[in-house]
Amino acid sequence: MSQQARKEQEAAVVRRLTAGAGAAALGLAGYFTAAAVTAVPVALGAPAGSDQPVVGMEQIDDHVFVRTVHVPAPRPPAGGVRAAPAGAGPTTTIAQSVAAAPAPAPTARPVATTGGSVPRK
Amino acid sequence: MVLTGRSGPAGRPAARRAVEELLAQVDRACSRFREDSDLSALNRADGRWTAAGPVLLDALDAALWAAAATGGAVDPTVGRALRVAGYDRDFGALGADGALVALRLEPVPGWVTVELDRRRGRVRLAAGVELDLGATAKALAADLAAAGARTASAAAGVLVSLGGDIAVSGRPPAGGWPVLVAEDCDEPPEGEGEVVLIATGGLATSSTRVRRWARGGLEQHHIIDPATGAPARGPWRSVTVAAASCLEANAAATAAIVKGAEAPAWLDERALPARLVAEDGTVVTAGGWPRPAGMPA
Repeated sequence: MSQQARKEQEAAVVRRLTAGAGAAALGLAGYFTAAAVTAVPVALGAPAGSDQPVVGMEQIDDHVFVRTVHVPAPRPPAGGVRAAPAGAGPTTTIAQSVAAAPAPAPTARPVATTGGSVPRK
Repeated sequence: MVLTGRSGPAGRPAARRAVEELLAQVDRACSRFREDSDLSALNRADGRWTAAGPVLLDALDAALWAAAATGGAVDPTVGRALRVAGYDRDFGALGADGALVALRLEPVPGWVTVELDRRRGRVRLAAGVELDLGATAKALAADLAAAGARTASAAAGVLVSLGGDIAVSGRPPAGGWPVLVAEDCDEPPEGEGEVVLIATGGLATSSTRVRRWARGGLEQHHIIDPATGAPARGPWRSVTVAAASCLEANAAATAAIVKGAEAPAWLDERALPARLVAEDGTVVTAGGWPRPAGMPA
């Protein structure tokens, strides 16, 4: 993807986000596998008029169509994952960072924890 | 939420507002425990078409994508199975143990039974089918919150953590965002454990350890195996995955718990960096997960 195309895509994502939440913003909407459709306007899992690549379309009878589209797999992160270097560095917090420049060196002190969660009210 | 870069004095409150508004929208649309949510209305519809707002439609898009991309391992039609297993109210209101009940376990109806008509803004579930969007809605919200907070604050980079589902947007700090990998997201970031750096996308952990309850003395947890309708009984108690978005990371992590022994190969095939913790505490890595600093190769 060219840099220009990437910028346009990013701008579209930002516009979408300012309008409201959406999986479409992540480019994930509209990619579903076989859909048995019992009424033509009803596309199971597929937005009407979407431009996802249709792999196949089979008409079973007058009312039932099977539409097969490409489903993208979960993608790895662009930057990968690296082990943090040993040792502690400054923690950047929202309160500190509003007027602060990015941290000058790799930090080892985590700013967040990933783990299982118990939902709270 | 963590911001980097210059965003001006209004940046922080603007970011916070953006995140809070988004989370309120997602809760109103997707909570299984709110009588007035769009999802609750859909689950009560008994086979009728139900109008759905854009947030629920997007959350369903995400849930159906996750189901398709994981071969059905992460399936939103587990709602009834979760309720039957005893997860029938907000987790904080669940008792530690409930009465012994006769459970009739059966495979969940399956995500392909969900009819989604985006053009008309409506959804239909077969009678008796109930959705739970727990495996995807929070992660999707984290992705959207990170992007929204960045837009609202004009920060260079943003990290948002929603109960351990982590999404980043924009420019990371030099070296990347340092994140502690734990089994419980309540572990303070400065706690003991493995620390990794991510620059883009998301990081998520699915665990059978933290959301547990009992029915008739039988331990239950919230990750349902769609093939059986019962809590997954695989070799992993916790799986952490990094991916291009938090949604993708959480879908893969939950799928790994359900897929069990085949999960490392499944993650390797997709080059998804993952850390899997077995029931006995043994750590297995896949997809290029880094070796901790200082550990010999």
